[in-house]
Amino acid sequence: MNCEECSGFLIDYIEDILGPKESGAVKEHLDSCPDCSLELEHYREIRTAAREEALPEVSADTLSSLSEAARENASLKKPPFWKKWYYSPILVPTISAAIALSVWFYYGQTGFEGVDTVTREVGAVRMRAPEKREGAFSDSGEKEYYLASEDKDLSEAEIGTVEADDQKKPAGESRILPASPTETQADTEAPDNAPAKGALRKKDVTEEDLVQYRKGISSSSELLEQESMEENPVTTSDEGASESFLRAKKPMLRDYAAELELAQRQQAEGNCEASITTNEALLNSSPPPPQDVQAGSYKSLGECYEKTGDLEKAISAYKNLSEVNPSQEEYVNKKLEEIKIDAAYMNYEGTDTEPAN
Amino acid sequence: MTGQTINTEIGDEKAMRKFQNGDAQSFDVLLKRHSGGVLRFIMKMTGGSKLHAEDLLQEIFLKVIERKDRYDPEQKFTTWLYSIARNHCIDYLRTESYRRHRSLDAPLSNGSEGGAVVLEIVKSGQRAQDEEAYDKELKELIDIGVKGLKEEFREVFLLREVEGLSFQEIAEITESPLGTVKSRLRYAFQNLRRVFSESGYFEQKQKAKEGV
Repeated sequence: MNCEECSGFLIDYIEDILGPKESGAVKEHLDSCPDCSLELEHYREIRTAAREEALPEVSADTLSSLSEAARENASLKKPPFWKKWYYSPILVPTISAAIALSVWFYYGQTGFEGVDTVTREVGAVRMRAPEKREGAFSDSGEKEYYLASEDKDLSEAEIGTVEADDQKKPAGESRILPASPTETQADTEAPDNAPAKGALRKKDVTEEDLVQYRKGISSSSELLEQESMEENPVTTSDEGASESFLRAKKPMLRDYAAELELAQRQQAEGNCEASITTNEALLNSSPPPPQDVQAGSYKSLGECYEKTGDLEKAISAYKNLSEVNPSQEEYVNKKLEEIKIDAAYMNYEGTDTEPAN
Repeated sequence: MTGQTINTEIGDEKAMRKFQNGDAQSFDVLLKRHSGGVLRFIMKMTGGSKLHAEDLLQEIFLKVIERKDRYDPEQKFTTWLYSIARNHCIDYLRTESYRRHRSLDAPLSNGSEGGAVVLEIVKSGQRAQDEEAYDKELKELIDIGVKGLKEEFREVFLLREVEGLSFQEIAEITESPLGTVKSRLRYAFQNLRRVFSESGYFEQKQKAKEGV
């Protein structure tokens, strides 16, 4: 240990807060170093002088006044718990309001059932109030116009009755009419009340008419809806509509008879392929058509296939016809015979030509 | 008489607890026991007159009375008391130095000036030849030296060497780590020794010893 190191440890050495190892090293160095020993001596002297600092005497006045203050403080009763600072008249309402607000905000927004309905109701009332007023104003304007135009017609036709009812009628009506004697009388009698009265009447009218007005709107919209609903069946019965459209649009309300008629007309026109398509679509439809329609369809189909030369399909169509309608069996048998002859003829033709190939 | 002996035997913490429970006599015990020490600390810390120090002492003990319910009996009473005293002194010094800096006609006296005063004392040949005179001079030098110390060194030196508090208590009072307290005490001693050396006190004493 050198002098610099020792000097750093000297105060701790005096204070006796060094570990035994360091303490021993310092002691060893001090024994061999008169400079460090002298430094230690100086510190000891300063320390002793500091420790011997005399206690100043506190004046009796100070002591007695402090003692009195302590007695006063001790004699003070502790304030009752409700008089503590945190129950101050400002703090309590502020904090409780803050808590109430935060609860309201929290539950009002996350949809806690009980509170939510309350807040919604409050919100609705708040929202409705100005709306109602606005509505009343705008509607009153409209209404005045409406009544005025109506009354022009009225005033031409029934001016007498209107005049008679004038007292009961609202202000809007009386405006376009020459002022009736009763009303002018009322105005002169109570000029201050008159505008208020008028306003009141106007309001009554507007509220009443608002209801009617809304009814009118709703009824007209209902009518529109009904009309649009009825438009669809009209289009389905349209002859030009395609099969797929029919199937997609109105599968439940198919007019089988109409379809059969269409197929038969197509057959009569000689458009056998169109007739076949119509008939097949009719027979393949998912709620099967009634038996008489089926029978007619099979018959038409069989005839068409026969005409186009697709004899196998014609035979199956005729067989189906006889199944659906046994009373047609005779006709079917007759047709089958014809087909057999046709087929034999065609086979003959076929055998005749085949060897040539 | 017996009552008084019992009272003086009461520990600081127990006395304070009794005062918390409304026993004003216990406060008197604490006041008697610690007012002198606190007054000394105030005087050395602020470097002001005794009269002024007593005003501060009164303010500090009034704080003790007012804040008695905030005292935690688990804590050492002296730690709590000297914390209040130390903070009060520092607040006072702050406002005082602010006030002094604001006034142009009152220059601040600091450590180097203290050293100059000591040198003047030495040169003027006021030094007495007997031990008593040396002791007196020693105390004067310590006063001057302590006054010249920086605030953070001064409080540690006073609390440790004059008031005899433990390092742990000082660390709590000054709100500093224990290591910092120890190193501050070292700096304080080294600074004081320099003041003494500059004054020629040790030299003179050595010569006197040799002469004898």
